[in-house]
Amino acid sequence: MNSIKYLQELAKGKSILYVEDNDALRKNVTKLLKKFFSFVDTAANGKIALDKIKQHHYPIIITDIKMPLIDGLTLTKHVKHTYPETKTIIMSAYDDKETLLQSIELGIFRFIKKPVNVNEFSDVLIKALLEIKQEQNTKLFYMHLKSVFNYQSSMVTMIHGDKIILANELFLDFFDCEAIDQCKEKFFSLSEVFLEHNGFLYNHDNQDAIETLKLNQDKIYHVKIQNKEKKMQHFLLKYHEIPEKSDHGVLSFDDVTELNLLKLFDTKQSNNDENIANTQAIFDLLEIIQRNSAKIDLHNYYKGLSITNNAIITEVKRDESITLKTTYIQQKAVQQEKKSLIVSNALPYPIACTEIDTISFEKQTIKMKTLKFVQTSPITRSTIRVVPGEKQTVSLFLGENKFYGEIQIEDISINAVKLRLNALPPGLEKDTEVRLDIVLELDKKPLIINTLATMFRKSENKHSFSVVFLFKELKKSNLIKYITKRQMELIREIKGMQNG
Amino acid sequence: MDNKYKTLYDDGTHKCIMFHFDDESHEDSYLSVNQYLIIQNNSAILIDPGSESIFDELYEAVEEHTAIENIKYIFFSHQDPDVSGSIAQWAISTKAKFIMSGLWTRFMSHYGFTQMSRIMVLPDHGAKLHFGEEYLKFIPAHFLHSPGNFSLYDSKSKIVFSGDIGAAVVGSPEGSKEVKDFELHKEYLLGFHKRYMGSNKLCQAWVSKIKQLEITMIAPQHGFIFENENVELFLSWLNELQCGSDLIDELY
Repeated sequence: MNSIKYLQELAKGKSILYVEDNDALRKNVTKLLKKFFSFVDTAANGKIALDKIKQHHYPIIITDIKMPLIDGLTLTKHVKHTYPETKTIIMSAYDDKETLLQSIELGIFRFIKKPVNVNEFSDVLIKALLEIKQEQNTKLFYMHLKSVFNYQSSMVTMIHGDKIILANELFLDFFDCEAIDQCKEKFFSLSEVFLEHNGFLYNHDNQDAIETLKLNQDKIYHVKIQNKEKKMQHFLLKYHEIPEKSDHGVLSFDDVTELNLLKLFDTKQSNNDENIANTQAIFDLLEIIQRNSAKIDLHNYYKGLSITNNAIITEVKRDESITLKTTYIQQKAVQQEKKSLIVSNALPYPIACTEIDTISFEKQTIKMKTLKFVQTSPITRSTIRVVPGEKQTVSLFLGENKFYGEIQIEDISINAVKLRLNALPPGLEKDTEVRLDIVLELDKKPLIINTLATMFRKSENKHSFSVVFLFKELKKSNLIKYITKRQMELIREIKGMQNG
Repeated sequence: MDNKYKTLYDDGTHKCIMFHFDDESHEDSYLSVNQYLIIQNNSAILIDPGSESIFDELYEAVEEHTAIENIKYIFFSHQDPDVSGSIAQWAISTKAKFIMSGLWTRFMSHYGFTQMSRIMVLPDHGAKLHFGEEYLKFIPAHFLHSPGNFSLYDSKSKIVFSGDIGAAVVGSPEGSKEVKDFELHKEYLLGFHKRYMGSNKLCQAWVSKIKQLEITMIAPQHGFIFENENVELFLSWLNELQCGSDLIDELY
């Protein structure tokens, strides 16, 4: 499209004011402007122009500088003050340094030197009209956004970095602010209103709350905020990044104060048992997570290999079941282990699901029953433990005495081994020192682990005992190699299941 | 394996150490590899720990500076094997969290790593992490060269750990590990950057981010470190570099 046609299209429906004391020039330029703009108004000096501005809003004003009564620069000053968004174009024969500097200081849009070159003139008008269009679009976008924000039933705010730039009425009302500027003055960063509470999100030495939110966008966090009546309110907070808008995001606050969940996060021992037994809270929290479309982690072990994948809650049936959508590999792991663990920072404790109702590979869903908070969970394992391959032998010595019963490795880490014994050797107590000769296979060669160890813990099974021994002064490098290789084997095994 | 580390910064409480362990079995196509460790009191972050083949040596070297259990984070600038190949070994031997671009998490199981709950995913525009009394800033470096790529800025030492940006194809790292003469060093930078970096536009975006920071040093994952006036010389050079898609006609 040529520039004349483009200018005609952009200027359609727009008005312009042209201020010039030279009658002949004013007549000529007006004739030209009328070819593009729907409404062209003129003034022979700044005073007439000011009167016209009071009656009508012009998105673009073109003015000469030297004119009787009120000059162009004084006119520009008035326009900038009353209509800062108006684009003022100065058209003058005076292009001395001082005039130019003054014009720049006043924030004019462009300076066009007389005599006027038509191409330059139309270029400047196109640029001004494009900028007006862009500004109008932005304004429109924010107006729509604001109405979307106000439509929300919970508090929402948009932040840039950690500064508030937009908020809905519920948010403003909560913080007792009449307008967004008041909020900006009230807090330096939004995160400073998050109060300290165990398991909650707040600023402390090792954590910047907003940064944590940005790093974990799929997750929801608990926050405690004081309202204008100085009462504590409990919210679930989620951050949604705005695509293609660097460092901009929307925070949504889901008020859950009435559910009275704060005590769940109280770690005092006296409250713990009560908290753990609180199945009501499990379903309250799962419903909140579902409502916020937040992701949770499902956790399983396959022969010691940690299998963790995101899941989305698709259905919560109070006091009955939960249905989740997750990955194929997680479904396989759940199928193998016949249980799973739900982990989320929105939960005070992990939730163990010990009854698997149905697994639909077609719908990618798992329906689980029997949900219970658990205080200790395998995800707190400090080291990776794997079930070794079939090629393994173990000998256990207490002093000079060899244990001749049945013995098998349940799992092994770089620090410890868990053995399954068919009987307990006499004298084996906590901290008893033993010698272990373990032979595993690494790269088709025997890997011999000959080490002293101490008994750490024992538990009784139906027909056997599980005993954990901590290695003493064992060089770890071979075991790291073994566990790495074994993990790879197990990954291949479970991935192989995907095809079978 | 003498002199396999160099202290880049040490004020008594905060320390930055550079290691240079290479996979020597491929010495004919040599590209020296650097690994870095930042320590503050009882916290440490290991940067681009490299491939499986150097794990044992690096593990022992790290132990000489801090206890392994002090490693709280391991940062991978991108997914390449010479950066993240040893992730499974470090997962077994530490309790660290692993920091990387979300583009690569699903690929980590190919290195034998499955503990997804230990990964801290970096959003595309980067992040800031409190580290003791200081902070670490993860700066986007996408397509330079990897599509999900970050540099790391340490606010205390003011060092930028730049990953593959600034990498030089040089010989065996005997003696000096700093760029002495930038003009001479350019020839070692050019080939690598022309082919591995995405485009001049991407280089400029990274340079403009870096220029907002107060920096004393740029420490790449391959080759030599840039100090003093060489920092500015390198940034200016990179800002002007024609590379990747700018040279599309040479590739197709």
